[in-house]
Parts: sequence; structure tokens; C-alpha cells
Amino acid sequence: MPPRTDLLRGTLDLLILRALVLGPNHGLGVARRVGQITGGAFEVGPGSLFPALHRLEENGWLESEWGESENNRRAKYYRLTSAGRRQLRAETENWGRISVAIARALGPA
Amino acid sequence: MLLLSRLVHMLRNLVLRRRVDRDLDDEVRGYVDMLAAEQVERGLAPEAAARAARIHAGGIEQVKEHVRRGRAGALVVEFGQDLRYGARLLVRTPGFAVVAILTLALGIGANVAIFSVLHAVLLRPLPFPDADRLVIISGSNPSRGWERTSISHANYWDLHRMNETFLHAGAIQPTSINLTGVATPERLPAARVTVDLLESLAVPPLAGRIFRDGEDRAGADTRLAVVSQRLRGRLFGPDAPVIGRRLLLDGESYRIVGVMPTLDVGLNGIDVFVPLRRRGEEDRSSFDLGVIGRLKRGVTLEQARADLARVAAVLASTHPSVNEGLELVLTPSSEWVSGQTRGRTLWLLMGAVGLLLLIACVNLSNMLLARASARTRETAVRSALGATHLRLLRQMLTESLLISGSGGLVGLLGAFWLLAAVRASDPGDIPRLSHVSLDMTAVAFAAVVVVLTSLVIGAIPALHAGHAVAPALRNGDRSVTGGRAQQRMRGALVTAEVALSLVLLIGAALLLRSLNAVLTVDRGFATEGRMLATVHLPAGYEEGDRATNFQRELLHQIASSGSVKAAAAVTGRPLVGRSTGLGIAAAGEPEPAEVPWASWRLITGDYFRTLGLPVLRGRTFDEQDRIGGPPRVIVSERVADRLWPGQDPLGRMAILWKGQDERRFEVIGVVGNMRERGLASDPTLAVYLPYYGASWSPMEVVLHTDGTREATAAMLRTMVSSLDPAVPVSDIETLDDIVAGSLASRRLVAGLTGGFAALALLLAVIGIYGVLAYSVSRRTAEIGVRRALGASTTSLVRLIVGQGLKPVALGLALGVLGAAALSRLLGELLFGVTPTDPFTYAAVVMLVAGAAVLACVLPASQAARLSVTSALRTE
Repeated sequence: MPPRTDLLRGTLDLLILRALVLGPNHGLGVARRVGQITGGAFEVGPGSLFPALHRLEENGWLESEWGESENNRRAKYYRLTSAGRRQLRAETENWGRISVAIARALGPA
Repeated sequence: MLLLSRLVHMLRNLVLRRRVDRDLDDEVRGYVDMLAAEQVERGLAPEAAARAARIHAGGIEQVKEHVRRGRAGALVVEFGQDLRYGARLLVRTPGFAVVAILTLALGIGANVAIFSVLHAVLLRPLPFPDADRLVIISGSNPSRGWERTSISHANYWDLHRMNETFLHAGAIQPTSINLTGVATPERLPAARVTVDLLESLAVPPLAGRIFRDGEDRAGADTRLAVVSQRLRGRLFGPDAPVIGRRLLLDGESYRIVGVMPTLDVGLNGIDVFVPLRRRGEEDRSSFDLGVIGRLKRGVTLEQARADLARVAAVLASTHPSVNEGLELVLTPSSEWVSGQTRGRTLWLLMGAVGLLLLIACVNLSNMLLARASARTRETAVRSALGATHLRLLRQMLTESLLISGSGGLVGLLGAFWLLAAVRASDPGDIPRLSHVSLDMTAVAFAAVVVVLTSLVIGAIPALHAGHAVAPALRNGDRSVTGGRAQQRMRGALVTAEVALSLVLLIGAALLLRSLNAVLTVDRGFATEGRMLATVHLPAGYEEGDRATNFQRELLHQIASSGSVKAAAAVTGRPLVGRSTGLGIAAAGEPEPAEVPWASWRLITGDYFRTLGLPVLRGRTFDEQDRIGGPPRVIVSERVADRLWPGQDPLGRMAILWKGQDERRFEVIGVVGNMRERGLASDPTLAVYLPYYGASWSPMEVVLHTDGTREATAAMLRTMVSSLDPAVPVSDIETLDDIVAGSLASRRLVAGLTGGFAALALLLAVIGIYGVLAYSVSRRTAEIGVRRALGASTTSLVRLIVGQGLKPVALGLALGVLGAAALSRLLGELLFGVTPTDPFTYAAVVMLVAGAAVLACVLPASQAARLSVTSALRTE
């Protein structure tokens, strides 16, 4: 797993929060959902996934508890907290502004 | 919110580390298992699926490490790891650990101890509210050669009235007062004060009140007392109600109106304050008031000085006969303690221990440098495995912090012990020394010193480690002596060490020589078998000849007891007494430009014989000589030489109290000089007047006896109380003890400095030895080659000693220069020796050079004993 840039790390956090809006999930499930919602553009490996999950949890945006996976395995499930939802909203707006600005900057002159 | 959450998680990560780690392990393993299960569902064999999943995950341990490093509190965990790693290394090399920790413990302990003294005595603020507005006002008259004099009553009241910058300007007249009506009458240290004095201190009384406006007015009833809490505790009990109770002071009944807490700095010995009564007509020519002022809010010292200059000019022009040339000088409270010699002394001691700590640090730097180069390979491998430079630096600094921290802890124990020793040898003339203890400030100071020390000792090896990685990997650590740069660094460290310890040793040697000079100086008086006692005549004895009759009878009884060889009375003790002075001139001679200032004493005829002071010409006083009789004076040799150089002074007329109420006295005798202001002060100009006819109290009884102190004290008390049971006797001391007491603080400073300097020398020798031994051990192969090529033992020893001594020689040169520059700071602590005394310098240089040679010869001779084969085998 090559280390990601800071920009990508911020993006990853945003994508993880977004992936968990649909409901609690475990690590592999989060990685799969990120793949789905980005149409396969982002494939998240465990080397960046787990540090990100733990960081988000330490920031108070996620909560975790142990549960059973669909095929009866013990797995740690992450859920958005209300602080996480607020963070997602703020980050989404922020991202919107940035992407508009960048699109304008890079668009046909 | 975010911070709080991270903090909670950090605590959890730190406290429940095992559980957090197990959870992480389960989580990542579960991830890999699920990944494998997916592959199995797609039809892969279970083993192949598990392998594929692990490859995809990219190493379970690395993933976990990534998470751990990003976790809240990761830095703390890493610090803990570094600490454990460092501790393991130290435990594995116990010899190094013990030497390193003890070296730093010496340096840090000495610093903490001396800092505690400095803090308690000098730095801690005075216990007065807004102490920065408190000043002492004293007189000065450069044209008459008077410095820091007290102020006369009339001048004080004029100053009190005319000044515009002081909220309060209070006067204090220290005295002592007889307390009777109790089991044993005693003499209490007391002070007469104006109302403004206690007001200016602004210390609230513990009980009752301080004096009120008007209670010092002429005609007011001044039989009021404010007592110290100490006296209250001693007489009545610490919580006893005392307001309104009465004390018999000098035979009169005083009403207690207030209790003051223990006051610091100069006032702490006073047990009773009574109002200083304002008389109708004040005396302008006897200077006996101390003045303390509290500035009005917002007034600067400069404004106050200008105000005082204006007042002084008015006083000089309105009363020129006594005040001509008068200046009023102001001493801010910050300088009450520190402005004096002892303040400088403590700073010098602080400097000495600072040097000692520097030397300890240099030693440690050297040891760590050697260790670091022995570990170059380890460092190189770790950095090749991905440890960042910063991480390695942090590791090294953690190790030095561990060493200096342990040194600090041991040092605190040492400081505790040293402080106990200092308190035990309290010379008594250093204010607040008895309160010195290891308090929180001292511990905080120790912590700061530990951190600074770890930076200093860690910096050089850490820098070195940064440079050494690439070459170490390249040549596999075969560099012969750890590289040229490193060798230069070692040389520089040795130079620094030698120079620092030389400075310290020269300072200590100068102080010890001064102490010796003071001890052997010609005092002018004998101390063997001499004793002194203070006898306080209560009020009533000033009538007629009561005092003289009492004195004559007492001395007669003492002298006729078997063991006493001689006895006399005098108005002040040598070395410790407050000096009473007067201007003196020869009658009939032209006015001198500067009037000499002489101390005066009232004595009975046998004073000189009792103290062993020779009568050089003429005679001493006899039974007929008395104050009020024909005016006669005995002068010291220095006075005679000054006033009548080359002439016979006998029969000449001397003018005493020159510049005040001048009076003429006939010189009837010349006696030897005596260092009565202190053994390190020049002998005083002294004049002696007859005691008979005066009622001066307290009176000091001096005797020369074969008896013990205890027997003599008992005899004295019995004799005095049989003459008058209301007369207290106090402070019965041998003159030997008084002399020792006057030298105690000099002895303490010289002893401490000498001890620190000896430690410094020891550290320096260990340092030189360590550097050379290390270099020899690294050069075993080279020495083997030299041997094989036919180098003789002598030439090898000469080579190694020569190389070892080069930085030592440079250090000696720098040290001599440093000492010459710094020894000036010793100032008046030096006696009988100049700051650049060549003999002292030469002796200390020889001592250090000799020690350095010894430190070099040992490793050199070891090298020379190496056999060629064993030396070459190390290659």
C-alpha cells in the first residue's frame, strides 16, 4: 500500500463517513462500500483503512462494537455518531466548494 | 469535543494497552479471514485463499503498526519504549551507569543545595506587602568619610516633616530592655519605634494593634508594648490572650497592645517594640536612628532620591555645624540582603557549583560519545531499517534524560544531606539560613537542571550519531579512533574540563589561603582563657555613682576569686559589638582635610591586661580617672601615628567628637592595635575613656581565667545576683568562641568551595583517564603495528602521554586566564592574598598537571604492556 497524500487522506475520511451513512459496517464492508460508491475508483487497502477508522473513532465521529458478520464471524462494526454526521455535513459542503473551485481553475480557459 | 474525545481515547490506549492491542489483532485477523472466505466462495482452495488474502492485506503486522503509530498517545508510548530500552542498556552496563549517575548526582545535588540556600536567603521576597516600595534611609557624609550612618533624632523628625515622597517614614532605635517580675530576670532585644515604623512595614499584627497616631508624641504615655509572637509563646503560651496584660520593662509597667508575627531581615530578633517618644528638643548630633520608608504609590526610586537630596540640602544649610556635607542615601528592600558581601558570596558559591556541574556534563558527554561510537553499527542498522533520524535523536536524548534524571534523584538526596550539613554549621550571620530546606522550588529547579543537563550531555553524541551513519555502514566500523572529528571533539572536552576545574581550584585555594591568613593574623589581643559576659543594669542605676559602685564591687569580687587572673569592664565586645565612633583630631595642629574616624570604648583600668593588649607608653586608667574628672584618653598606636607622627603623644591634647560637640582630652597612654571590627578588617583607630563615672549599660565584663566556661558562668551569675537580683547576665561566651563565630561564614564558604573544587579535580582526572583509556583501547591494533615495527616501551608511553597531555596543557593555559579574570570577583572575601597570587596559581597548576600526568600514565603503560600478537589479533 503506497502512502497516500494528505489530500487523499482527507478524502478517505470523507468517503468512510459517507460509506457509513447507509448503516453500521465492519472494516471489509466499509472498504467494499467505498469501492461501490466511487464506482470502483477507490480501492482501499487495510494499511490505510484501519488507521483511518481508528483515527475517526478517536475523533469521536465513529463508534465501534463487536458483532457477528453475515457469515457468522466476529467482526468490529463501526457506526456514525451524531458528531460524525455533523462532520460529514461540514466536510461535504467544504468538498463541494473545493471541487467547484478546482473545476473552475482547471476548466477550459 | 474533538479534543476531549481524543483525550479519552489516549487514556484508554495507554491504560488498556493490552486490550486495545488484542482488539486490533482480532479486528485485522477477522478482516483477513473474511477476505479469505470471499475467495473460498469464489471457488479457491482454503489454503490458497488464505494466502491470497494475506498478500492482499500486505502484512498483518505492518497494518497493525500503522494503526498503532497513528493512535492518540503514540508519542507517549514511544517515549516509554525508549525509556525501557535506555534502562535495559544501562542495566547491561552497570559500571557505566553507576559512574554516570553518580557524576551527575554530584553536580546536580550541589547545585540544588546551593540554589536552595540562595533562594531562601536572597531570592525569596521579603515578607512585607509591596516590599518594592520599602527602602532604608541612611545618612552619608563623604566629606567627613562617613558612610551609611544612622540618623539623628532632630534630622529624622525634619525629614519626616519635609519629605514629599514617602507614605510613611519610620524610625527605629534598637536597644535592649530588662524584663523583671518573672522567675529569672532577662534582657530582651527590643526596639523603640515611631508610629510610622510599624505602619511602613504594613505587616498586620497577629493580635491587637500596632501603635496609633500620637502615641509617640511628646508627653504621651509611651508605656505600651507590641511583643513578638515568639515572646508571647515563651512567656504565656502561643495562643494565650495577652492584649492588656502587663510587662515589667526596665522597672516600669508596660501594657501589651499587640502581637507581631516573626519578622524577617534584621527585625526578626526583636521581642518588644515600644514607642520612641518624641522629646521637645531633639538631639541633632548623635546618630542613633535607623529609618525605614514606604514610598507613596507610583513614586519611583529616582523621585524619592531627588526628594531626599532636597531635604538633605535644607538640613545642611539650616544646621551647618553638624549637617554640612550631609547626604541622605536610600537602599531599596531588594538590596537589604543581597547588596552585602554575603549576597555576593552566595552567588560565588552558585558559580562554583555551576562550574562543577559543567565539568560533570563534560565528563558525561565524553562517556556518551564513546558509547555512541561503540554503538555506531547499531545506529546504522536501525536507520537502515527505517528509523527516522528524528526517532534516533529522540532515542538518544531519552537515554541522556534517563541518566540525568536518575542523577537528579540521587542528587536530591545528596542536596538534602548537604543542606542539613549547612544548617548545622549555620554561622548565624546569614539571614534566613535556618529556614533553608528542599522545597517545591528546589525540586522544580532540579527538574529544570535535569532537562538542561540531558540536552547538554546528549547534544554532542546525538550530533555525532547523525554524521556517523554512512561511514559506519561503509567501512563496517573499522575506523581506528572513531574519526578525526571525534578525536578533536574529545580533545576539546578534556581542555574544557581542565580549564573549568582549574578555575574552581584556584578560587578555592585563594579562599583557603585567605582563611589561613585570617586565622594567623596578628589580632592584637589574646583569646586563651578569655571570657565575656553582658551585664544589664536596669533603670535607676544612672543615679549618682550607683553604676560605678556596682561595677567596682563586681570586678573586685571577680578578680579576688582564685581562678581569675584579671577582670575588667568595657562598653562593647570585640568582633561582634556595634561600633561606637567619633571624629578625632590633634589640638593645635592645622585642620586635616579628612577627619579620622575612631571607635571609642569606656574601659576600666585592667582592660588591656585582661585582653593581653600591651600598654606601649604611659599608663592605663587608675581608680581616680573618671568621666567628669580631668579629661584623659588612651589611644591606640595607629591613632598616635596618625595624629602625632614621629612625636611623643603623651601629654598632647586630642579633640574628640570632632565636628560634633568637640571636647579636649589629654593623652595619658598608648596601647597596641587591635582588630576589633573583625579579623579581616584593618586594626581600628581606637580611643579609650574611663568607665568610672558613666552609667553606660549594658556593660561587658571581660575576664582572664583558668576556670571552665560553666564554672565561671555560674560564679558570675551568683556574684551579680548577690549584688542585685534584678540585674540579668547574658551571653556568657569565651573569646575563642566569639572569634570562631566571626569566622564561621568564611570557614563555611572556604570549606564548601574547597570541597566542590576537590570533586571537580576528581571528575577531571576521571575524564582525562577515560578519554585516554578509550583511545588506547581503540588503537590497540595501531599500537601492535608500532610494536612490531620496533617501537620501544618508553617511546610508546611518551607518545600516548604526550598526545593525552596536549589538550590538558591548553586547558591549563585557558584555566589560568579564566581564573585571573574571575578571581577579582572574590573581592573582599580575599585576605592577605591578591586575586592573582602567583604562588597559588603555580601550585594549583602543578597539582592539576600532576594529576593529569597520572591519569595519562595508567592507560599508556597498559598500552605499552600489550604484546604484539594479542594487539594484532584484535584486527
